[in-house]
Amino acid sequence: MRLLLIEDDLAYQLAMAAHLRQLDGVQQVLIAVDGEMGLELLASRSVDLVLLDLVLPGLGGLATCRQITAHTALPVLILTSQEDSEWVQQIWNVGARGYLHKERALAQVELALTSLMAGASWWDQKATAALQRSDPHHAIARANQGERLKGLTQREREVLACLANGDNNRAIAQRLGIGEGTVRSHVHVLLQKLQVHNRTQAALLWLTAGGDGHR
Amino acid sequence: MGITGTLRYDATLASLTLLENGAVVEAIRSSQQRCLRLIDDLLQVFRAEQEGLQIQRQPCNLLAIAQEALDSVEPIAAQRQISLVLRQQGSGGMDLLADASWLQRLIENLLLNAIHHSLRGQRVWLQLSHQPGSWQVDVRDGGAGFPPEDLPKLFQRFSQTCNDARGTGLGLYLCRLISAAHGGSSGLMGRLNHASVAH
Repeated sequence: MRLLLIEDDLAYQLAMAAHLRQLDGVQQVLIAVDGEMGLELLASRSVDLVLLDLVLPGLGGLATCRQITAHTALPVLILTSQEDSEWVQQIWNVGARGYLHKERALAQVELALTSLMAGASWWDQKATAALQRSDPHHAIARANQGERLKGLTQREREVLACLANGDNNRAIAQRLGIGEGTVRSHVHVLLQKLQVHNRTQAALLWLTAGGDGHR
Repeated sequence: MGITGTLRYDATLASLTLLENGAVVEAIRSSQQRCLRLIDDLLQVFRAEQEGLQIQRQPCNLLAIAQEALDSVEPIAAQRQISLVLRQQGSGGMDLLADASWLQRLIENLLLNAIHHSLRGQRVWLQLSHQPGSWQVDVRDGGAGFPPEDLPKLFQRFSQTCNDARGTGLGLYLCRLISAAHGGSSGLMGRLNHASVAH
């Protein structure tokens, strides 16, 4: 597993990187001190998962996460010191697959990484409750999901189904016999049609609306 | 924590010792300095609100103070390849009667705020100017700027406009107190933070 750790507190970064490096299955831990540096590394190096501090200078954690999840299928695990439920919603909105509280991160990170690498998320009981509370229009939103999915072309549905399957652009291109550039273009259009910010939200919308049943 | 957990933590410590001691010390020093600055902002604001900000005016030079402030925050800027540019506008004198340590703190806080909101590799400009009876400190950054609706909130206690901002939201508030104690004011226009001090 190749990890990218984006953290500006040098002491925390040092401790977390040292901890990650001795975990089973971790081959590499790249380090960035801000979102800009993290995005640069992602453009040139192969990474399987990103650990992202929420509070960062410059671009900031939320915008960095939004950029990563809008353009890649990489799972992002947020590191934060915040307990406020409002944060959980914001982290969710930018497409993160979960978060770890910094105080508990060393003890929980191995399990969280395993979970994310298996395609699952890492929301604890408190976060799940916060997400449920913060979405009073859940039922209405759900009813609208079917409508939005109907606006997709057959090809966009196929791309979305692959996204929901956890495929990256290359895998989708191979599976559908089209170019990677075409896949990127389809993803861009379908995110707009579905009115979501990133691939994870699109995939969730597809899955919660019944997935294959809408083909 | 079970035995596995204990072993893992021992291994973490072991791998830390493999690193150069200098890197470890520097990381700890950097984190501690950040914490100390936050605690100090908090203490100074608390004290200023209890007793009023106490300043002691002495003859000093604004350019020399600005240079000290730049030297102090330069390592933080360098970490993100942000260059700091000092400019003096006009040919007015920079000698004034003010509290040098508070002025240095004011300029440092304006610079740190600008550095924090700049993207990697951008520039931060610090400009000093002298008008009759007052001196102006302007700090401009390359960040996104604040939305107009947030402007009234800035320079207030615990004000944080962006959700993932670091800090206590006290740095700019302390700037306002320092300016006011020197008979000046501080504020923000777009990407420009400014503060003034009077005779």
